[in-house]
Amino acid sequence: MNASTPPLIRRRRIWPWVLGAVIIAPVLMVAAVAYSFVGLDSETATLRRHLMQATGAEWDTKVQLSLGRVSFATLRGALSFSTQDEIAEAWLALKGIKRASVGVYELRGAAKAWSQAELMHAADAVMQRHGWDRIVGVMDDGDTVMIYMPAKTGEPREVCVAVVSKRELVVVSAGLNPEALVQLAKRHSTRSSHAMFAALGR
Amino acid sequence: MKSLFRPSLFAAVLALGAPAITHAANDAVDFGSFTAAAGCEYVEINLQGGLIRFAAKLAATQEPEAAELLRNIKHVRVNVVGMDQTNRDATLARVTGIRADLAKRGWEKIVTVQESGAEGDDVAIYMKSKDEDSIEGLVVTVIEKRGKVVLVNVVGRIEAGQIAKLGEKLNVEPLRKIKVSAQPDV
Repeated sequence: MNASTPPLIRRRRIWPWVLGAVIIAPVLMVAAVAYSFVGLDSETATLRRHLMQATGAEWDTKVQLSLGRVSFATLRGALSFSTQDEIAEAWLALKGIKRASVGVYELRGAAKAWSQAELMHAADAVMQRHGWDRIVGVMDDGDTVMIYMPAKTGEPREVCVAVVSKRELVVVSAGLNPEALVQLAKRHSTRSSHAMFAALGR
Repeated sequence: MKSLFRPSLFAAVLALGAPAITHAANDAVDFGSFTAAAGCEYVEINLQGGLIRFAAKLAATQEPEAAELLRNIKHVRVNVVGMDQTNRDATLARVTGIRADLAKRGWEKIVTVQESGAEGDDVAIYMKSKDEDSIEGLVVTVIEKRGKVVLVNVVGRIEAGQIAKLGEKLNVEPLRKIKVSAQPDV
């Protein structure tokens, strides 16, 4: 006769955890996607932070938006169902952009005077650290415009633009598809030559 | 034998490549950095070959002639510096230095314009030619007495008669006005 009793095995019930995960995961995913839409990509955010620091002013966010490859692919997918000529052109234009990150900020309070040259130097320094070269820099009548591209680049596959005016700061970065942009240019030239021949024939 | 061969090959490649590298570096003129004056215009454009070739691709269907012209360009640099009391002396000294340096490095001065009067502009254009008909590098220096300096450097093979067209395509005003004959005036 065996007097010993079998050990009591407490079974962990995992189904509440699974159920919880199933409920929470989509919420987290939606939150992550929503956050990725309203945040800037890291390089644009770094540029914005340094520009804001260089102005020594406080800025309020007006618009902040990022669209990645998936978003652009979804947009292109939605447009691909239409056969209209204009939509086809919009589709091609969207094909020319792989991703985009845009931030628009407004100066808080009274206008401040900052050195445009120091602003440009600050932006140059941070962008050079990240491997970007400035290809265009303009300072005129309180407006500062800077365009950056990755150093030693061939075709323009990435571009970053910053515009600082007296009351507004705009930063934009985009991943480009040069081949699609060339296609778009060709399509435009073909259309304009068709229009020209049509006008000549009239 | 193998160990001797590799460094020799490396040296040979370097020796062959060196003139080309030095040559390219000689054609691109380093204007250095300028001090911008507060409230004055300041423009800096620095376009490298890849971007210019891309522009050529964009222009290819509509303007094949312009595309062909752009395809031969390796580098474009433009500086526009507005001047006031804070940066006038340094900027003018820099431009004078650049002009002297170009002359020293064998660049040929093809145009000199010195308008009289306080409002008169001072223009000097230099080129480095490959042969009688084509140019390898071009530098335009303009001192506008009203308070602006314009410097343009174009590197690449340009046909002498195409400079004005290049100025038009790149939207570089001083180049638009240039007409160079096959035999440049010195």
